[in-house]
Amino acid sequence: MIVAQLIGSLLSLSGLLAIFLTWRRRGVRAGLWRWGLPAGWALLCLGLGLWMVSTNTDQGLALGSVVVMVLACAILARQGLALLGKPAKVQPVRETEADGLALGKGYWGRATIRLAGSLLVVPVFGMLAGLLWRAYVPGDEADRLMGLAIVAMLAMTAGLVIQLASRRPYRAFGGLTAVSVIAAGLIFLPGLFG
Amino acid sequence: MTKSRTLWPKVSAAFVAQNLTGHKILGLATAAILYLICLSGTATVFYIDLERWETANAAESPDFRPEAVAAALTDMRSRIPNDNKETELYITAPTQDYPRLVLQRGEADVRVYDQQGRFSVPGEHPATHGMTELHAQLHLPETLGLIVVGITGIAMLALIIGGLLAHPRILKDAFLWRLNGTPRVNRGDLHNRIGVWASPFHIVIALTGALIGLSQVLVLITALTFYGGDTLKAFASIYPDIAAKTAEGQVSGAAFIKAVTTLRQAHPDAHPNFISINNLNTDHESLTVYAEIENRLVYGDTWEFDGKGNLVDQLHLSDGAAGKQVYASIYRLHFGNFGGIWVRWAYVILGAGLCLICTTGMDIWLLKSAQKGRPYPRLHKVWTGFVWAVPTAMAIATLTTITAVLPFVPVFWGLTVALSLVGLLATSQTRLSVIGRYVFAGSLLALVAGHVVRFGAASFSQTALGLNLTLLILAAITVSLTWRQGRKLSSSL
Repeated sequence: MIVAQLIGSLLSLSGLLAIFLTWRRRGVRAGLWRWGLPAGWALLCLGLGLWMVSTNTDQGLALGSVVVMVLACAILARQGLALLGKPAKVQPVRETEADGLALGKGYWGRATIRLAGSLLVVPVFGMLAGLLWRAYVPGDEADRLMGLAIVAMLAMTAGLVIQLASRRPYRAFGGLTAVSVIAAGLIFLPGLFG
Repeated sequence: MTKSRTLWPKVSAAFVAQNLTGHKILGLATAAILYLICLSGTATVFYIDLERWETANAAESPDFRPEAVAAALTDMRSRIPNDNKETELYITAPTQDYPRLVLQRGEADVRVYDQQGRFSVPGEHPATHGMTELHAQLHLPETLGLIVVGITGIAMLALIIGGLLAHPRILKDAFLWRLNGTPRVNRGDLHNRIGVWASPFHIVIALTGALIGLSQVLVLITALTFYGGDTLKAFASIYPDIAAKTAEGQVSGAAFIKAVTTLRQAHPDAHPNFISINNLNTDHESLTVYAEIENRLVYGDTWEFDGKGNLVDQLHLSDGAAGKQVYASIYRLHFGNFGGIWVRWAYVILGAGLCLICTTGMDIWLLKSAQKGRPYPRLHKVWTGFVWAVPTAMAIATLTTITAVLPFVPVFWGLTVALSLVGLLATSQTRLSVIGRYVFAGSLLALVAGHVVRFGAASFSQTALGLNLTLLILAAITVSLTWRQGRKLSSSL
């Protein structure tokens, strides 16, 4: 068990180093370096796989992922410390000017619809997506309840990204509202009409 | 020479710009609250050790002796008043991670017992409680706080997904960090690199946090939609009502010993760590025993015993339906208490990275605005003040709480607001940042000194010493990095 975990960690480290060294060549990928990135990611996956078989799959995946993330952060920290002593370019910042807002045409309209969409439509959209899952996806009752919770969270996340990133927030607002109405119909109408 | 190709699907500049806009709006709206939640979460990864540190003079032993619990139970029962309103009595059994026997009735009566079951010290830990409540509910009323924090979890998830979508060169720039670039480029690279490499951790933390925070709302809406408003029925598929229904009287010490012995014989891989006596002080008391399962991500499983110590049922959280197992894994994934102390340290490192992402995100926007000729100097100072005020206020509030001078909540919020606003008096944001770091380091030193004054020799016991040394090392690192950065700044000016 420990041997597999040790080899898994070494493979993860090798993978990260392969990605790091390939990146340091800044796009010059002649010869074997062409395979640097795919080999690096493959080694990372292999390392994770070894962690998963070294103990229970769920715990192994969690532990292996933590190892990869900490090793990557360690490489970043090493980079940071190496460059810390070097002087940075300093940009003058006009600190004497007053704080102020630069608002374009239609700013308040877009801001209001984004706010309303994020606080009202997105939570409803997310919950209805979860309820839709619970209503129609077959399976054990516990699986459906947990599925409801996860789908609701992910749908709210997707809704929030769509509502805030949209260049035309009115359209996103309308689209999410329309999908929510359809979902509500699919959930509640069968109950109302037997 | 071969031109490099990216494996990432090609996306238009407009798509990237749109996602960046969404990322910016959400980040600015939630930066302060996210920072509060992330920093308090990072600080409380070691909440078990914080509890032990806060009551450093309590008796400790990792041996779980049911006989000791039986003796402690007798003492605790003698303290139950006639007008008792508490329906449960909780027993925290000693383990390797938390080698203490603690009995608790309600919030006020918490007592630590030694391995013979004799009273040691009161077990309240208001400072740790203040920190964990800050993380879980921002010191708001319980349900409201959980919902606010849960919604923040969704916002965090949206920030991560939006950030990744706005990053088409994610593989190509895997380690790009131009530290000697302009402050905006430097912070941008740091923000992106930690954001990418630690994204699995961030996604898991945000998703599990949102699930924990919004679970009450989710169950309520499920109940209203499918179960005629009955929340117990809605949650029954994961947490069925397996409570013993027979009236076997009160749980005696012998019944307790019988229940634990039965469990140990039937499930040798299950280690009891938490026991609840239900329907306290009635003629139909029952026992719920929670036990950790070796090498599993689930927090454990639950067994129900009647008042005589006879096994009634098991919840099957560790070997039941996938939904049950996923539910039971959420907590340990969020708190990092699987896989031992090194995982907790990893969570601290990754959590600190998350705090850095919060602070650099706001910095990037402020610096970009200044570059475009729209500086926000006052906002920048308040933000910098806030960034260092929060950890300083945590340390000082902990100090005033363990020395019983002032309670945690008013000290924490008073100091956070005051120190953030004091930042406006600073001549420059850069200087304020340096001063803030020194003040933070000073507060850590004061905290360690206060602990030694309060607990004397107990401050040098294994866990207390470990935590005190960690605080001292953190103070030393803060001073050292600030000193080096200060020299760098003065040489470049």
